Amino acid sequence: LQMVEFKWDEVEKIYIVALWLFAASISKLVFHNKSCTRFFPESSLLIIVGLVIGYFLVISNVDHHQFSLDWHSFFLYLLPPIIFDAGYFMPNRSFFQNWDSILVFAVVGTIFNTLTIGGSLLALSYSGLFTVPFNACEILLFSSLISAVDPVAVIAVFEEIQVNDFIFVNVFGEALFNDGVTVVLYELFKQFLEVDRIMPIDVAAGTGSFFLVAVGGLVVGLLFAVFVALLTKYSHGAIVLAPVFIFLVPYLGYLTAEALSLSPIIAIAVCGMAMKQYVKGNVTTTAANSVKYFTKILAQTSETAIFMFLGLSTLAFAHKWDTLFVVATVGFCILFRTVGVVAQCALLNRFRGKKFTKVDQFILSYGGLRGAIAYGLAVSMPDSIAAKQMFVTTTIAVIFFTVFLQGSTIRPLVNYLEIELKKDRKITMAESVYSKYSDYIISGIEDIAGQKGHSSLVHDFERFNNRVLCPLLMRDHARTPNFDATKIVRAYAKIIMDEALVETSAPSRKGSRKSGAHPALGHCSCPSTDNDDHLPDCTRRGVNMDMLYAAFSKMLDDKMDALRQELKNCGSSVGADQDIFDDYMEQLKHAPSLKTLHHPALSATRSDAAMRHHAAFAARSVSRHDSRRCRTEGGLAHIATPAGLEL
Amino acid sequence: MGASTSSLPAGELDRISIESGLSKQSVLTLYKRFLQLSTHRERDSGQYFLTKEDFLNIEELRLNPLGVRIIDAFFADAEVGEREKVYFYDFVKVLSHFRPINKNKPHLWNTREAKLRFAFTMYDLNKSETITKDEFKNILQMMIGANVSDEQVNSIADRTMREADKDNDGYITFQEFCHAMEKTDIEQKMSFHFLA
Repeated sequence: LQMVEFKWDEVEKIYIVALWLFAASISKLVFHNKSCTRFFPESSLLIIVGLVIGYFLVISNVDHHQFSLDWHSFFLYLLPPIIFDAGYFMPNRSFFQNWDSILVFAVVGTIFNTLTIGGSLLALSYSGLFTVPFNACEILLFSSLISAVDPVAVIAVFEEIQVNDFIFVNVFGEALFNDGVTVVLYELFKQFLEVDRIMPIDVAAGTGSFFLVAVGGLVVGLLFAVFVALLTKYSHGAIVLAPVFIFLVPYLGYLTAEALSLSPIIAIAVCGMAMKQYVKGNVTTTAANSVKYFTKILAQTSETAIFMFLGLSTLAFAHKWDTLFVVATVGFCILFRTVGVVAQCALLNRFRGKKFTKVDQFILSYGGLRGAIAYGLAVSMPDSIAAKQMFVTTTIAVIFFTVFLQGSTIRPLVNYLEIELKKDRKITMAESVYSKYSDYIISGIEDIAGQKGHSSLVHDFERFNNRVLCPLLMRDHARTPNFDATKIVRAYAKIIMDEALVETSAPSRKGSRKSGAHPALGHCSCPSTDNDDHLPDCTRRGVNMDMLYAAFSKMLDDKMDALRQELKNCGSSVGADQDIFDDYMEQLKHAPSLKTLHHPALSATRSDAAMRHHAAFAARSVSRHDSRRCRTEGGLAHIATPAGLEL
Repeated sequence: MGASTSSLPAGELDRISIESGLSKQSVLTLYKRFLQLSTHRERDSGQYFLTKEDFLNIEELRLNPLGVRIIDAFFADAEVGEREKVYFYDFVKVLSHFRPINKNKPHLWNTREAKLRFAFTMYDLNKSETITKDEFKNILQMMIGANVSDEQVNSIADRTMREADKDNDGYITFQEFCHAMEKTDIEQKMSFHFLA
């Protein structure tokens, strides 16, 4: 009987997977410094890591077929967390202000790209220059997946160049929703493949099913959002369960939509977007934070995995490289995207107040990066397609091209074009109030003028939301007849908290400075500037030190309590350098310019940088708590420095 | 309600269109709306005008938390003074503040300043050219008072005043107001595109 065995076989597969993910995370940590992110967007680094690991796996003769990505794993396990994360962290307000342009880009743009790219490639194929033949359906299948702009890549790149909110929300919204459109088209063409002859009735049925699938997905998403909101509302018995529901229910929605042949991507994205507000109001701050984190973890892991697969299969896959096809595809992609964007913007500009400038249009067309989803769809193509190898190879090539070339050159190009960059500034209270206020003015003016516009739609929805939805879906929601004040109060609380943080950290700075400068005088620098009860006796020695310390510690305790009260009330996480933000817009706002050295870039590909920040913040707050505890216990040594008193 | 049968004389149409920078189509649309709302008519000149009651008849405006203020500001901005009547010309003038700014064709009536001026007037109803903390608190109360405690409203008002009041005299002048709004995208927020 052996005491210790080497049970490799049992754990081999999962061990390798875990090691893989571990290696990827470590390398992201390593790469995550300024010099690297300066030149390459985060997703390109992930691909490189994938390549490296893939290389090792190949030379160590690991059976790479074990690790090939199939439809099942991709669609059922890897994709949902990414989409859910995107939906949950969607900046809703900006999204709704631009819903028209986003939907036009996502739907019309994607369809246009699919048809034109597919059509051009088909036309070119009649010249017989391609090595592998394909028919119309097959090429349309290919072009539908290659048209999809990838949200992951978009976020990574746009953080680097820091464009304004307007462009960001348009590209990001488009990237998110065109995934839904792409998958629908993909499934559609896949079905057409099976049919021998395509009749007009099939095309009509296809178009009809497109709408059915999209709208159906939307409805499913909304239903499940309501479901989870109600669940969290009534689950105060077991607070711990709430996050579980928050994850499971959207995932159930995803699977349900998939089972009903509706669009699961749209379902889970809509679910994430819709439920956020209600769910946040129903769970505790800690629970909401843990949901935030866990979502990011899942999404990040999935992404990493996908890019690793990408890297691995680049090396291990039996490629079919057809230069002409690759070049033609890349060329058509860029060409038709640009044409599409320009045409759509021209159309949209006729109806919109906020117009797309030429530079906006450039960013929109150049920022259309392809990524993991295109790859996933490519490998899950039916093997019966003769040209599948060529398609997969080309997809990988396009992804590499867009991510590396376009991703790294977009910033210099944008700088060259002198776009109106995001100014990193704190939003003032006045602006926060004004934002709400102007909505109401405009709505009122529109009513006077007898015309309805966008803002009254938002306004009506808000009213409906307050009157009907919030009381229904949220716990203890105060009756708010017309107006949702939480944003203003939250903004206010945030500003106060930042200040309070500064003030509470100031004592230690001021104290140590003072104590260093005037040790003999025993000069008391009472750190709290708004407390006018300046202890009169502190300059005289012989005063009762215990009482003094008690008074100081009480002051600091009060400050701490006020801070934590604010935290509880507004439910947002605090921190001068924040950890995970409430939505991508916030994240973008706080993405530092490349000038600030000490502030590592917050990667949008759900990186561990966010984790690190949180860890740092947690460590700081722990140390603050520790010192606070020491003060209340009358630990003299600890109090001496902040109080600036010398014993 | 109101006399919807009469039409704007052509000369008047041209004049208003040129003065306001609106297209003739827009002016006509506004005139139709004006007639829809108006329930009074001058006895001697036959001109239609609007009173505050006419505005209050607009259902949606009543539901708007800032509705009454908007109406007051409308009258104040139109500079009708004692007469409390808004003629069509005044009606167009105020509404054209909200025309989107066309950089190629700038117009006096829809400049950034004009838009800010309307917003400012809503706070400063006694037209003292300054906003006091109480006036600001008033508006804030109207907007969010139902949801938050009085103390919180006070703090928010306090905070906002402090941010905007550069010379710390306790009042916000129009210049300080403009300065505080410097970075906001007024052009987009205070415009709606149907007016061309």
